[in-house]
Amino acid sequence: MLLKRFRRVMAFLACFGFVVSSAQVVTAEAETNNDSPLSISDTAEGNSEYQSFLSYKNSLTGKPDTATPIELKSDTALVSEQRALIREDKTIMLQSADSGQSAGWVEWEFTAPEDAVYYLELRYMAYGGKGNKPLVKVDLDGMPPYNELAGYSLNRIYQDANAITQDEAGNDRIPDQKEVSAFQTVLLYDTAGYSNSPMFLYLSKGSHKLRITCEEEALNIDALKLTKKPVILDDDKAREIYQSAGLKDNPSYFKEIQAEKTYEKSDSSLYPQYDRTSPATVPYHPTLIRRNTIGGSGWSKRGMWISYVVEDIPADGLYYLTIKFRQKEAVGVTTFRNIYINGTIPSASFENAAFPYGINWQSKTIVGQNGEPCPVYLNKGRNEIKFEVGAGRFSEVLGMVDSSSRELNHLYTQMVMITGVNPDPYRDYYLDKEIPGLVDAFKKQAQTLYQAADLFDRLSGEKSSESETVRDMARRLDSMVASPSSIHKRLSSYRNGISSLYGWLDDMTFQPLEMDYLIIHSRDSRIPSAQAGLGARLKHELDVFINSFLKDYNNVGGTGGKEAIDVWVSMGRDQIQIIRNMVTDQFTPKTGIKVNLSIVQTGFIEASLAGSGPDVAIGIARGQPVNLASRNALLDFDGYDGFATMKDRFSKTALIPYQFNEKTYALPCSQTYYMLFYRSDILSQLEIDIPRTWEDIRRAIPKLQRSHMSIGLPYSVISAAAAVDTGLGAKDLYATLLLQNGGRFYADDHTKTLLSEEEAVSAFKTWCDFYTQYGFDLVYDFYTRFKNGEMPMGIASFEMFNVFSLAAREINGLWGMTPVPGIMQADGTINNAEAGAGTAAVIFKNTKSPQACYRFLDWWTSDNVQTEFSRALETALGPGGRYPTANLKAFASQPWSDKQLALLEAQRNSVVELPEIPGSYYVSRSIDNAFRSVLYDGNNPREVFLKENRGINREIARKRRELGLS
Amino acid sequence: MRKGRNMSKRKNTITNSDSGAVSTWKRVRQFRDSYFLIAPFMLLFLMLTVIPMVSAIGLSFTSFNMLEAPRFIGWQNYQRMLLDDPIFFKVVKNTLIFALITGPAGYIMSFLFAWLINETGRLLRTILTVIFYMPVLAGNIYFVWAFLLSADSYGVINGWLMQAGVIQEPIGWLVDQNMMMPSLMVVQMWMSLGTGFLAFIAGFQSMDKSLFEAGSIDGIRNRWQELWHITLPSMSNQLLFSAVMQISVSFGVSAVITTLVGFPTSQYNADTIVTYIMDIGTTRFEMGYACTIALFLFTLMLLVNFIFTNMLRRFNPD
Repeated sequence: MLLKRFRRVMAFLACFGFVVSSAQVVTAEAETNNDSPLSISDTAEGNSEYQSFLSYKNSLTGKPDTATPIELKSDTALVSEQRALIREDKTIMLQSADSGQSAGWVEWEFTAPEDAVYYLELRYMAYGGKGNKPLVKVDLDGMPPYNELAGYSLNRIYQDANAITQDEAGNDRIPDQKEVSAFQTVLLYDTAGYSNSPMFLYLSKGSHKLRITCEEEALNIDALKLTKKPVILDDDKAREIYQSAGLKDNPSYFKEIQAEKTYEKSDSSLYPQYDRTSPATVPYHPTLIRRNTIGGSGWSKRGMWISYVVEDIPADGLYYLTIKFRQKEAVGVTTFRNIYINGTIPSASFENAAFPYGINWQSKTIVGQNGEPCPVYLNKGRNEIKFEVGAGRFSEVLGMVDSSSRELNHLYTQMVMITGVNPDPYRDYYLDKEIPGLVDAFKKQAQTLYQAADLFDRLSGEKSSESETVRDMARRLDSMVASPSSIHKRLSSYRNGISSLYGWLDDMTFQPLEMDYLIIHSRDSRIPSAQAGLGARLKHELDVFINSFLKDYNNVGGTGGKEAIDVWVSMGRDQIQIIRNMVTDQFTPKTGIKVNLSIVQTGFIEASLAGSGPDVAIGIARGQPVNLASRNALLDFDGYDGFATMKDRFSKTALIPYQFNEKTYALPCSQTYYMLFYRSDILSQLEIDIPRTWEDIRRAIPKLQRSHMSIGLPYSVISAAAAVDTGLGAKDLYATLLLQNGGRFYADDHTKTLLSEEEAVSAFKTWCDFYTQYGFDLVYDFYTRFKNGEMPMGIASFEMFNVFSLAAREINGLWGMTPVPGIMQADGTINNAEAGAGTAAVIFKNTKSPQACYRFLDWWTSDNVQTEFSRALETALGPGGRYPTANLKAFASQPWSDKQLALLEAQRNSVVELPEIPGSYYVSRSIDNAFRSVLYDGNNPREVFLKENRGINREIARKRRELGLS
Repeated sequence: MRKGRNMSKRKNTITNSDSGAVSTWKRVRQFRDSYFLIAPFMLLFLMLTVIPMVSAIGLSFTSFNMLEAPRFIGWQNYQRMLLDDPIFFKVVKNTLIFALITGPAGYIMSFLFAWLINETGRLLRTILTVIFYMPVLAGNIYFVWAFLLSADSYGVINGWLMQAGVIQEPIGWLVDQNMMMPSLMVVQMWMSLGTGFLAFIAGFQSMDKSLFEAGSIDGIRNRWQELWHITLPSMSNQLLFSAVMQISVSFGVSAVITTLVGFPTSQYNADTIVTYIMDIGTTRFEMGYACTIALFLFTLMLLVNFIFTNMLRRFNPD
């Protein structure tokens, strides 16, 4: 092997000599090759037909913003015929598109009295629907003026439905969440967090049309006000006003408000959290769960807010505000909150109040620029304090870096069109001449980045390591400017630099904060220390240490007792607590069966071997039921009376993976499958229709590749154990292609595979071709690349839908989801079959009370229980916690829009679940071996595939012999 | 005192006793203090080593899936291992390549390093010793190699090589089937340097310095002769210890492999007997067959250890 390496190096050196000597020829060739692709370069980075708010704002600097407000209400409104109406209370109701009816809209035609900039203040109430945030589109004279208004999501209002109560073990429960139906007034702001300025429209003098369309969910609009920018007083000015109004400090007042006792909030996921790390947290318990804080990493996105009500302020006057907080999630970064008192920000220090990073709890009194505590005016009696995630003091820097990265990215695509993704380092591309102004653009962007980094340091008051990422890219640009002939050699490091700028932006806009309590106090009050004393800390650590021997933190409790059935659940703590509550409130009272729940992720077999296994397991991995059943460890469901009716709760083939010897040994808990995600903006730019077949995909590939974009196909590198858990359907694309080709994995009696059939072999070849011929990436970060537009299409589990709609705000409204591509049949229908993945629930054979176990799972998989579980989970965790339940009715009741649900159900009807058989672990690894051998060693697909198939059949036969099946 | 009494008694009993159960029991009773003292160790040794070993021999004749009772199947597992399992021979080959390269190479390297470091001053020696022993101290630190050897251009080593212009395309150190084994060997050698190395350092430290003086009088002319004729023979114990350690370590490599290149590795190209046993036992639940292979590994290690000790006997004055 060493010899081979040596030979390679020598060959390389020889080539090098050759290349140098023939450099003349090559460069001449380069010049002739290069003139074609530049024409489409302008479309590359924009990614959308609208510009962003920032560039809109910059193009309008200096325009007057002292306009007289215009109020638009129902009396002048025109509404669409479908899905919209003006109600009796003069509000306008808009609903999203549904069952053939297009989305509702309202339109105003009005005259602007002068050329001016107007800010948008919307008074609305979200209602009904499925609990998602309403998404609206704002058109001015026919189209949204910029990207952010093409899909703007509006907050709802939530409240804790009840006080915090305790379960039988003494742990605090999460209070239920309920939505409040009330109007709220918001000034539309820049959701990306790159600007502190609210969003505005520029209206020239004369007549305009403004339309609001409801794209998702439903809302009532009371009024849209076009107004001027609200003024925030600076601290001194505020003080002067207080003085002239004769307001005085209120002496000796001190009131603590527990932060977990919120009044209202923007998201149901902002429920009380617990902190057991410090004895100074109020309330405190060393071992039991006390819901004693609020926020944390979940309270981090621009616009999320939490409000508090103080009822008993003794007198009108000036008070001071202190917050005990901790910000440990965004490492090394300061996060910001806008603090509103009774609806307004009292003075400049309450806008973007800074909460610095630290692993311990800290106290912060709001102080002005001079370091003096900043007073706020409170009325006698009731006052409302609201904390809202702000854009932060760095927003200007972020805006600069964002626009710079966009520009650099645009230049990158232009360069790649000339050089390709892997430029030949020994060829001269004359990039600086081919792209006129390239060097100047680099210079300009380097300048911007240096400025941004310096501004960042100035704002944070120190030369921080955070700004180095930005400066690093600027230095890289500088050195590229210094030697333009080396640019093509450094494209990949240039690309990495851009990604780290995007990563930096993501880090900087993540604004978590956790609060323990607020104090409203007088100037002279003594503020308690945020941290506990040494004695208290020692006692705390000792308590925790001793209790770690005594307390089983994995046992979540339940309705307990010796005769209870033991249920092991492979889910998170939040999920199990919801199950526990449902068991205590419903199942046990109704049936008298007691249940004991524990969090256990693995080790069922070992536990059963030791005789300490559970009676029931929920959420166990796809491959395990047959694994256990073939070894005689499970009870089958065919012996249970109610089984016939239970089958109908799931999709047609959902039980197949859990069947062995014609008996069913598990019930599906969750079921997931692939969908195709696409960027509608990019596809329409490249004139690609949303693909429905693989033929469509093949036609789209050249168009995408010309712009150096690609398609994401699922493939996971996983260990043998994980492969058993996942099953065959969700590992890669092969199962999908095989099924669509009309092939099957196993013969009916499960004694051998059918992979030597022609359909199977050709499906394998098709699969390999995507990688070998089209060069698709095997491993990639779909989320990032989809967001950046490098991968405008990709096949992924439908769970990605929630990830994109939650986290990828910058592409709100610019993407969609559709069934996976299929194969056109002779009758014109499309076969888009695919296999799924999921988890299941089983009953172990050594249980003492099988009937109780059956009844428990009958209850657990029932429509109502699954619906309620999904709903409770989504309330607690937000849409990110949406449970991919296998129960069809419960799935339909989840807050999918009707259109999404229709697509998802269409795909689910084509899901053909694959049987699991003893020895199927060998199938996934063998197919993967064959695949890699084609990919890396360039072997003939048919040959290696058939060879691996023989190995699979040997293993299956052996396994069947071992288990005494044949 | 007590010890002395026991000793004298023991002599009596041995001379007086006949063979048979009674006398054995008597002897046990007589030396009950000694038995009492070794009991904790023996108990643990029995429970954790001997019983599992013996039961493994038993289980190797059964088909056992961890859930149902073992079923006796005679020599079938052995037949399968030797006649019907192509992968088994692949992993044996891998294990041997692994052990025969990393074992001796690591052994020689740790000796050389120890010898060199021993020549340095006290402070430097301490520092270097800590550095070389670090991988052992830090436990599972080998995952840093996953970053160093990462297959894309972000990998540290690929990055260096590409910047230096040695390679253009990143090398798939841990992905490319041909590069897996060499990469793993480097990591394994780095890992295994520590223990043997420490034993050698101790050996050098405890050597009788006057031997060198005597040697030079007897006509030793250079350092190589000194090493060969004096240092090595007087370190035979350390040599043996290190050899045994090194062999058991290099035959037992598993966590490094599963962490760095996967489990099982692509086409079993870098799987060793131990990872294969894990595969058979934990993913396929074939405990019987896993025991058979484990016994094979045990025999193999015994054999290699035996050969090695014989080779080292050359240095042993005994």
